[in-house]
Amino acid sequence: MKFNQFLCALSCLLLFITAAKAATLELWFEKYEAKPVFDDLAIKFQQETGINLKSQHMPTGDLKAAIIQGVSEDKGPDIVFAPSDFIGNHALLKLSEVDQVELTKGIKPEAMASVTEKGSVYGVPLLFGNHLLLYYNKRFVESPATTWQELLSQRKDIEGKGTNLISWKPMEMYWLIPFLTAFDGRPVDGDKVTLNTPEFKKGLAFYREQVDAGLINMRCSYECVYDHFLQGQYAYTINGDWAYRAMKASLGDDFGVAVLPSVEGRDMTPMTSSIALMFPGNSLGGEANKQINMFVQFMLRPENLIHLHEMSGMMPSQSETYDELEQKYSADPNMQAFFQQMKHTIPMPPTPQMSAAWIGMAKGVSVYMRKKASLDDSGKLMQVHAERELARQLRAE
Amino acid sequence: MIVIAAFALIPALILSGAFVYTLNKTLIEDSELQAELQAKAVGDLVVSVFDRLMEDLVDVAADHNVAQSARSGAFSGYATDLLQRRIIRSREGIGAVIFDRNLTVAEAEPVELLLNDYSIFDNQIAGFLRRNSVIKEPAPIELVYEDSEELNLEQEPGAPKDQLAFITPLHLPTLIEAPASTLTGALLVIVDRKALVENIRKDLGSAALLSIKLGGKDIFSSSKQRKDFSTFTFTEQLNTGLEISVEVGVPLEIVQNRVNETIRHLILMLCSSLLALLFLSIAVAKRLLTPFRQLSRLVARISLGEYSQSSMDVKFKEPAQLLALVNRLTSRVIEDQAELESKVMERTELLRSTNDELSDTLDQLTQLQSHLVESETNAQLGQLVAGVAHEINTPLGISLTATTTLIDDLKKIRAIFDSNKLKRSDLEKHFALSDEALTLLEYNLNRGAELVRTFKEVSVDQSSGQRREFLLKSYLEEVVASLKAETKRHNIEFRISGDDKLSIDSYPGAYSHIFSNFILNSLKHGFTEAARSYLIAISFVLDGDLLHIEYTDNGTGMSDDVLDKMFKPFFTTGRNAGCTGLGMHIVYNMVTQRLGGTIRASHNVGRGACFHLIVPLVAPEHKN
Repeated sequence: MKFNQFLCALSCLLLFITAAKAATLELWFEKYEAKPVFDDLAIKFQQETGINLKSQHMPTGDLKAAIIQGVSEDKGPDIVFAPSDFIGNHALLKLSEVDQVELTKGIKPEAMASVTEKGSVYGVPLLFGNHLLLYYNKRFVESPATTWQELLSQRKDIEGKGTNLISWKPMEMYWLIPFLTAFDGRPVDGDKVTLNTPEFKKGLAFYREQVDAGLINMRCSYECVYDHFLQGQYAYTINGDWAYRAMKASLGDDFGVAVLPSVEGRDMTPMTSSIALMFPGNSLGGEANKQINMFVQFMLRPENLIHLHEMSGMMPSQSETYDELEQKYSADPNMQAFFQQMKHTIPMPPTPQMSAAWIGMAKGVSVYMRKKASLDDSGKLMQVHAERELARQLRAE
Repeated sequence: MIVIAAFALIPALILSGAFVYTLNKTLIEDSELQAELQAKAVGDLVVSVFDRLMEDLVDVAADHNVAQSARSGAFSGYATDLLQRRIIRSREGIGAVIFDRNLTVAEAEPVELLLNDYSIFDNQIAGFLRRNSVIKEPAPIELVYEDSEELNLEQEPGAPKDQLAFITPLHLPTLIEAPASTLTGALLVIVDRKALVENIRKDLGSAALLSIKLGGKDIFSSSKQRKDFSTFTFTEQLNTGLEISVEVGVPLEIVQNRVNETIRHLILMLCSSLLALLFLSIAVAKRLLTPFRQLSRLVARISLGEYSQSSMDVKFKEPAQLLALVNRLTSRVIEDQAELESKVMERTELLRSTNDELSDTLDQLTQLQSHLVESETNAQLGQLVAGVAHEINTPLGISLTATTTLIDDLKKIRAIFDSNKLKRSDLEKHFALSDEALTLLEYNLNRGAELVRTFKEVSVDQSSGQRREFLLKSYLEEVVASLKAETKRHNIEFRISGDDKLSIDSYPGAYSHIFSNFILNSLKHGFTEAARSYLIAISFVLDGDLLHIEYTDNGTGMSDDVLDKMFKPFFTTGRNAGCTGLGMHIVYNMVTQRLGGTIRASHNVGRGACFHLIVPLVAPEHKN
């Protein structure tokens, strides 16, 4: 009799703890621009569902590691709002497969592709694009360059105006991709890492030539491409679509957007991916499943996606909303450039190969750009280390 | 003056020498202590360099993100950033490599280390990971080499054996999904020994790093000669458990130079000071002595009798006072001289009168002396006469009494005869009386005659005979032989020793009388036991012009009282035996007057009698 009473009390306690836990969802996100949105929407979501949304921003470089660490210690978040290439580490992140059709209904196929790996869906894309654009300050640039040569030809004139030509994050691999693609270089090809290819190395060599030519400061960080650009220290900058809104608001009429210039007649093609809700630590299969579902559906509402878009500038992943906004911006030359660039992107595969490629590239590019190794050795190095990383990822699976 | 100054500097020189010696000793001790402290500081520096490195290595390895980086490139940024901040930054020639469990390189900082081939470490890393598959506290750190060859940091930089590496495991202790398999890989820190040592050397100062042993392995050994250094070895255990031994050398020349330089400076300083002091002393002495020179000249003048007052200008208070004193003294001398002359005249006059008085007195004394001598002579003569009278009076008195008695008895018998009443018995009585009286007369008259003869002998001139040269020893033997009649009644052995050939110019009669007297006195007063054997020894030696003669016997000897009075006239212990008490007096007179020597009586060693005579080899001349 007493044992039954104890079991009953224990069940009640567990239910209470579960209910208390379920009443709060923890969200970690990478895009700082999304912070006010989540702050607003958290209130709205709480009012509608009674579920608290605890959101935490983390810098890009830290987020993935923090999640892996958190998951390994059972302290991870319920939801992650991050670039879809995180899915390449889905094994380490223990991302839940999203098999509920209603959660991905109406999302653009390209966006869905960005969260699908080997047929499994590991996230719900909210924003799509995440691609690099050529921003320019009309105060210094009357007509944006369409080719790299043209860009270089403007250098003297622009520097004569007391500013620098262009900025980007030289040691960020995401910024390297358009230079590689201009030479047909690709980091991955299916399930293969393809870093040590002639095309890839050609693009890499061109990349360093720009540095050697003094076009770009190797120490440039995100400050260069955002703050310094807005301060007028650079006439051009290459930055992502996530900065569109903020830069437009800051520069006003001087704000200009253009497609990345071609190099030797070939397009610089940035990568595209989505910013998706993902569920680490198999949270979707856990007790918070219902609350997570509610939150995902809440976020997929058009008004909330538009809210996200308005705050960042990134396009929503839902087809209907996307189309409406595209229509809406049809007269905006900057947004036209935005959409034009979107059409000239390559999708970033959410695969372990891509994740491994990023790791290998970072090492190889670092030694090459710092002139610690030849181009060939750098190519070999990045290939070897990407493959090693891939092997680790696959072992983790 | 220079000598005075130099002498004045002697204490300073002695003190300086003592000071330099003490300081040198102290400096050497201090320098050696400083060297040890310097070496200890270097040792501590090296230990702290390795300690900090090991601690940083352990701390970094304990970071979960670093451990995770061996499993996923997602942690690459974290890991390399931490490696950069904790291990690479502020250290030269150092790099860190993260291996995964399959011994493949996952991360490296600086990233170019990824270009290296680490397969040479494979076996060591594999073994290390096997030994440390579970987490341990404290985290183990091992030193791994590129191979087992001896390291030599003295070789050219960049040589293949120019690196050493420390390895520590990477664990994820809180992984919930694999608690039994927490090992993710290993962290290898590669240290360029050259850079490490060079970096340490920057802070060594004058000390030299000679060798480092870590975990019992030589990781650095300098080719420098140990004999040129004071070497110190410090062995400590690093916080991570590895034992480190650091050999540090402080150049001997620095230890010595430190002392020498200080001493050199000190000696230079002291010499300068002493030289300056010398010159100063000379100058001061010169200045100080000037007034004394003036005074000296003044005193010299005074000594020559020039007592005129000096009005010279003398510096310094003391010499001026001295000059004043000298002036006062000369004044006083002049006054005293005048007074003295006056007194001398007075005293001369007084002396003259006194001298006259003394001359008178001397004359009176001379007269008195003559008078006294005469009185004394008379007294002695009186005494002698009294003695002679006394001595002769008794036999004469007895003789007179006997004669008177004989005359009375003769008268009485004649009367009886004349009356024809003479009886035979009366005649026989008369004959008996006459016989007795005549016997007394004969004895006392002989006694008187003997006394007279003796009195005559007291006069030395009359009894010592003629002077001549004679052999002393032979003569003494003859004297002894001449007494054979007296000595034969005793058992006496005579020993006469001395130079047989010694000839003297003297009075043999005096010698005969003296030694006969000695022998007869020995027989009469010393040799009292008839059955006993006696010894009489006479010895003489020449000492320059003086002859030492010693007479000894082994008889009963004499008392101190007898010794004191022996040579006085008429002193005898044998008055009743017919002794006159003049024998030794005569001997005394003969030795002192006739022979011109001295005589001394004493106890013999065996308490017999002993006489010691010292007489000139040539006796003095005497008037007849």
